[in-house]
Amino acid sequence: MGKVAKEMVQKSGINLEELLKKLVAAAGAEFTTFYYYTILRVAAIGMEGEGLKEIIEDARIEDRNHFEALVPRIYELGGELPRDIRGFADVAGCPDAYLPDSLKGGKSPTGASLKDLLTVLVEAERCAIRCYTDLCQFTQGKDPRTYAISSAILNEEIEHEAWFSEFLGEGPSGHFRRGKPGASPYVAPFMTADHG
Amino acid sequence: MGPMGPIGPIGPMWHNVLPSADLATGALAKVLVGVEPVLLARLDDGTVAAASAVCPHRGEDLSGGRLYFGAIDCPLHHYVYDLRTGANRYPRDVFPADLAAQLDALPLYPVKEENGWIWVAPRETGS
Repeated sequence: MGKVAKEMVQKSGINLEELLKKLVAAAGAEFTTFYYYTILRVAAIGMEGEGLKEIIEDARIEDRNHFEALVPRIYELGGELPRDIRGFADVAGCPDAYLPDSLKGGKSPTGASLKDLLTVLVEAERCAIRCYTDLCQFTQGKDPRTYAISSAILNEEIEHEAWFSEFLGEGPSGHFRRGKPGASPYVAPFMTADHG
Repeated sequence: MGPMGPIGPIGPMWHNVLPSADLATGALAKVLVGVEPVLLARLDDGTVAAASAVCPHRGEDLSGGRLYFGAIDCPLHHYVYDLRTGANRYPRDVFPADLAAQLDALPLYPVKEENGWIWVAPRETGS
């Protein structure tokens, strides 16, 4: 914990307890999404699904990176992760990104089931965008470090939404995908360990 | 009951809770109707919606949330509830059917604007 770092945030007028609740919820959402995206990536097979697999992998790894970037800030501010991972999942700031019913049993995503898969993905990213927009607005002008981390994550979540929504035909597309899987161009500066 | 306006209650069940001018388009407010916290929202078409201010998911205060395409976005877990129907909009649209069926709706309150005030009536028992 950083004593002065915490004190400066408190003196800025931020409700520290509320901020920590939001940060733990955000970290929980990233951790659970990493898990669920693993299942969704596994389901991305067949002629149509395979094209999605690498994009899901980019988002999956970057969500894990977001978790890694958030955790140090939680502890710097005197917070902690829930001791029980079940409790952590329960307070996650976004709903679970379940495999859609139409893909149970190892079916290849195609037609309506492909759209179901993409809808789970794009809505999860939209939830993340709402989550980090809230965190940015909560910390802007008061807690520069949490704001910078939240803003970096928000940048990547916005790109993730674009990747998936463009598969749904929402465009045009104004970007290219990552040079290497899960590169996290915005969040990487906040990751304290080598993320490969 | 909220602050009494210059006119007073129109009927026995309606409570004048907020001057209409105090709720701009896109804004939220929290008022009390009896002992119940009620969320007021001025939607994009100018109409006012009134709903429980307590998220049915985990009890978060929805007045700290944001309007999201005619719905309220819970500030902590980001469940989304339609403010015209009370139905959970997200994650109901992506959850497996058995889990979607378990998502509670957001209770709505009767609401109207009259004589420059927003009026809310208590929900009927069991609604």
